[in-house]
Amino acid sequence: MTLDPWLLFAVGVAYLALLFLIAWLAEHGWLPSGLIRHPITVTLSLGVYATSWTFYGSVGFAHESGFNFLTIYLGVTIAFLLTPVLLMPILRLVREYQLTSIADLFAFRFPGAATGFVVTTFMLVGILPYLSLQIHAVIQSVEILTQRSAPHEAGVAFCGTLIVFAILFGARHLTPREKHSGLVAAIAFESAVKLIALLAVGAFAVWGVFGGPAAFHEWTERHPEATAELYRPVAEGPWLTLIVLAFGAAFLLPRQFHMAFTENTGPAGLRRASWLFPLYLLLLNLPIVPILWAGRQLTPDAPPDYYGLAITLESGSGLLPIATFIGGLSAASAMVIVSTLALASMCMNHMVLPLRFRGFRQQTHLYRQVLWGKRVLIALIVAAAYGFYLVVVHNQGLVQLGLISFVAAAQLLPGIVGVLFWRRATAVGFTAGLVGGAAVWFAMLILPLIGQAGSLGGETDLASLLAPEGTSLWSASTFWSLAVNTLGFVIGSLLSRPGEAEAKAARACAEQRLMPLAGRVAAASPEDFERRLARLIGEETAHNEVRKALIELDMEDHDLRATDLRLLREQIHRNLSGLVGPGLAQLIVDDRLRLEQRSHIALAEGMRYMEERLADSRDRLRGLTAQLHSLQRYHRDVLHELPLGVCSLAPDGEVVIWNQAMAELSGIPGRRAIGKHLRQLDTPWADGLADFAEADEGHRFKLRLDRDDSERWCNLHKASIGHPDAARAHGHGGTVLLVEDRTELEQLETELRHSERLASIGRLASGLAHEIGNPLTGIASLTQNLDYDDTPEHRRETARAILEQTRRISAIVDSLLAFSHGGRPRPLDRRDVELSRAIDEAIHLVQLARAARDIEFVNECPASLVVPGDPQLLQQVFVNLLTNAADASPAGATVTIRAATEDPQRVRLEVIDEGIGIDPDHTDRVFDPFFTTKDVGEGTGLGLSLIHSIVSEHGGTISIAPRSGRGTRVVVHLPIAAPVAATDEGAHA
Amino acid sequence: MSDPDSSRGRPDLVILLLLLALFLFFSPLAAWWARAELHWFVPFLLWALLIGLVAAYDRYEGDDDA
Repeated sequence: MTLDPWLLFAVGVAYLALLFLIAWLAEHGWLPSGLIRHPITVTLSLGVYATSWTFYGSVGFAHESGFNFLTIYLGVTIAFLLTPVLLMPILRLVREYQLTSIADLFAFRFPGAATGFVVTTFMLVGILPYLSLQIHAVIQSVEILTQRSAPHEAGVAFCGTLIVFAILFGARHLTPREKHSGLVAAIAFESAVKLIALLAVGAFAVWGVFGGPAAFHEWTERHPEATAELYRPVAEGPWLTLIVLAFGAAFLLPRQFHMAFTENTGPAGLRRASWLFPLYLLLLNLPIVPILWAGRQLTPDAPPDYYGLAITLESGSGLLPIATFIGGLSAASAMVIVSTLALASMCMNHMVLPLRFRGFRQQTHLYRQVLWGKRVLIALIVAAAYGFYLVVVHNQGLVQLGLISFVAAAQLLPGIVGVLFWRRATAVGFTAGLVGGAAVWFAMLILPLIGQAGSLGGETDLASLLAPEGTSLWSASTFWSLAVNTLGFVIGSLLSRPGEAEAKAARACAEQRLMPLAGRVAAASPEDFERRLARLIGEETAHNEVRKALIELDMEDHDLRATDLRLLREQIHRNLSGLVGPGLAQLIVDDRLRLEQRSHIALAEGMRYMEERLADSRDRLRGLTAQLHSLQRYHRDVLHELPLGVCSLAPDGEVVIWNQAMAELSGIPGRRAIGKHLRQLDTPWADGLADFAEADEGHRFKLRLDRDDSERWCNLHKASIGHPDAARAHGHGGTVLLVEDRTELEQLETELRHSERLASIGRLASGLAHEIGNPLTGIASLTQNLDYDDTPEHRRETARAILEQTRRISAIVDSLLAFSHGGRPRPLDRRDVELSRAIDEAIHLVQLARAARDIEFVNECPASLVVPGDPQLLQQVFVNLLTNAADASPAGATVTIRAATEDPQRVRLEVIDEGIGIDPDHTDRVFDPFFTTKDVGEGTGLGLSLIHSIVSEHGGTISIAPRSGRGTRVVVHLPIAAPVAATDEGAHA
Repeated sequence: MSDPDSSRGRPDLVILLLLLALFLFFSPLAAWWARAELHWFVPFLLWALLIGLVAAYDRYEGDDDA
């Protein structure tokens, strides 16, 4: 029976339209994303490997070479068996660096314009026979089904249809990172269709031709020579060579690379495909032997490649031949569409755009150029494949054409070793090896093909020389091309030195990618990024790319730190790599987003970058590295959770570490602080910390650093990390600041001081009553005498006397008020204090107490002595010291206060009493809080402790001089000039 | 996004599987089964055996990850 060619054409177009509908549904979310990402869908999409060669050619291959036809799938099985060590690392690189093709992968590993160009050119030439094979197979299948020669128009129509659908599937619009969920869905559907079709043909062969499995088994028992024919070539043929070729083709052919890596939606799918895909191939090949034997039985005159099609024509039904035709069309169209998309992308990134790069300007519409460029390239590639078919292919077997492309793809195997394992490999070596291998491939396989087509005079001398009679052409061409390739690769690599970019790429490929990001981006904001990029890739593209990168990084477009801008540059670089290829992306960011190579800022950036990468990579770290990572995390957590503010600074003052306590204390979260210079933080922390970091002193006490909502009192401590010179030279080291929150302590101290003052006032109460009582009595008497003052002169005299008495009372009350005032923490009210006067006032207050009435206080302080300090606090010091001295002294004793300038910086002040003295065992403890030698109820034990605190606050010291004879000598040193350590006026602006 | 290399697995088991594949299809064993006049489906059985072991390895690694 025969079929109408127009029917086949209509069925073919309808089938491709159905595919497009599936793709459209997938892209518009009508198909669940879980289905697109399902491992079975991923596996079926990899089924693009099985082309017309598999669908039709495997039967012919089995006819000629027995079980050698299985090698093409056993090689794939071995490649996918190595998924964890071979395919996963490639997937990691592709996903991480936004690589979209095999040429991108090599151009990334071996930077330089030549790499991508050579790989693309070679793949273009190498895949052309394979593309022609598909056209050849479809046209031949039409000829067999219609029993007539297909006109040229049929081939042109088929190619035109393929161009339209390839554009519809993959170049209708630009998609980020070359992801086409519709394409994945459509190719998976095609793979399912060709599997079902081939299984149907196989079932027809067993049941329809042989009469069922039992009959088929009987037939094989009766014809042992048929089975022997299948086995014989295994021992004799190029078994090993073919497996090696299939191994390389499994992931190096552009279409395989595209579906396995570029369109990959996650590693889980690829991991599951490590056995699901070989299983798919096994099922696909299971019907081949029955079809072969059925073809020999039923249609021995048909070409063995098309036995599958020929036997279905004998079924008597039109359905099975059409289903078989659709299966073959699926195999061919899927291969052509995916291959042309992949090749178009490679040509665009490594041929067209690099040539046009110098002409890029502000008005460039990069997206439009890339989109239209790909469309034109798809058309050109399909047209070239059709031209190759017309000139060379039409009299060739399917397997021969496919194997030519397999040998071409195998030339990339040495390069893959360089990508994944050999860090010393260089671009020079790779290019030299590939060009050498490609030359041998061309001379041994393409020239004879052209020769057979009549364009040249038969086999070349080289092919005859290297593959003498009796030697398999595939073994010889594979061996010699790979030998020349590998030799060139190794020698070229060893004779050349990898550049800086190459070494970096080699480390990235070898998974040594946890390197700090070096350099600061010259651009200051996302808008600046856009302006700079727009000059080269156009305003629209620049705007879109910057916005896209910001969204992907989850960043706002304002208030970005140097670290953020550096990460933004990295993200834009990767996204551009997905758009225009790694080589051009590198050129664009190097040209427009220059880095200021300041190695010392790498610390903060590097730490954040490393933290993020290590967090992502923890599952991958093993052994010592994993332990080191755990240790690093432990140290980080210790620092982070320390209940003490920790802030470490790079040598130039940029914040590297800002722990949790620091964030709570300052109200500035770590993400806003890290990477910024201290001076860029919120006030008062910016100046307070920066001043201290720049000062020579190691400690600063009681610094007031307010938050928005509350007062904060802090002690600051500082230490250098490493030697400062070495730190500056190597970009690490710096300073660590410890910030101790003493707000609560400060409040407590203030309350204690207030309590102590109130206690002092209590002790003074009786004297106070007496002191106020005397003038009151005087006032009362004077008032009574007023009636007797008969002259105005006398009355005025009495009034003056009353006024004098009220002034005495007022002075006493003022002194008490001044002494008792306070109760909340406040900064030192530092002003010049005349010591002699302050001591006089203190003596006056102390003498209010009954106990001090009989004590003589001698103030020997020179009137000229002035110290900077808080008058109220200093007075509290003197009151407490004199009270203690009076309490310890017997009646009639003298308490002497002496003061003198000890050196230009300090005043020495002594309070000397004639009391019982302090036990030498207690002198070290008298300044401790709550330590007292007085009886219970007579002293709180806080007086000297507060004095010590106040004196320290003033930058001074207090001590008990060793006993010499009777009494106690308390020595206070106070600075004459205000010490910087305690200067805090500027810190809480 | 999970890292692709989280699925890296145990290279030692992968190498063992590779050695088994080489043993089945590249060693003198291959020459033996090619000459032993076995049933036509034997190569498919050997192939299926290899696939089954890879599937078992994948399942083992999956459990290991969990």
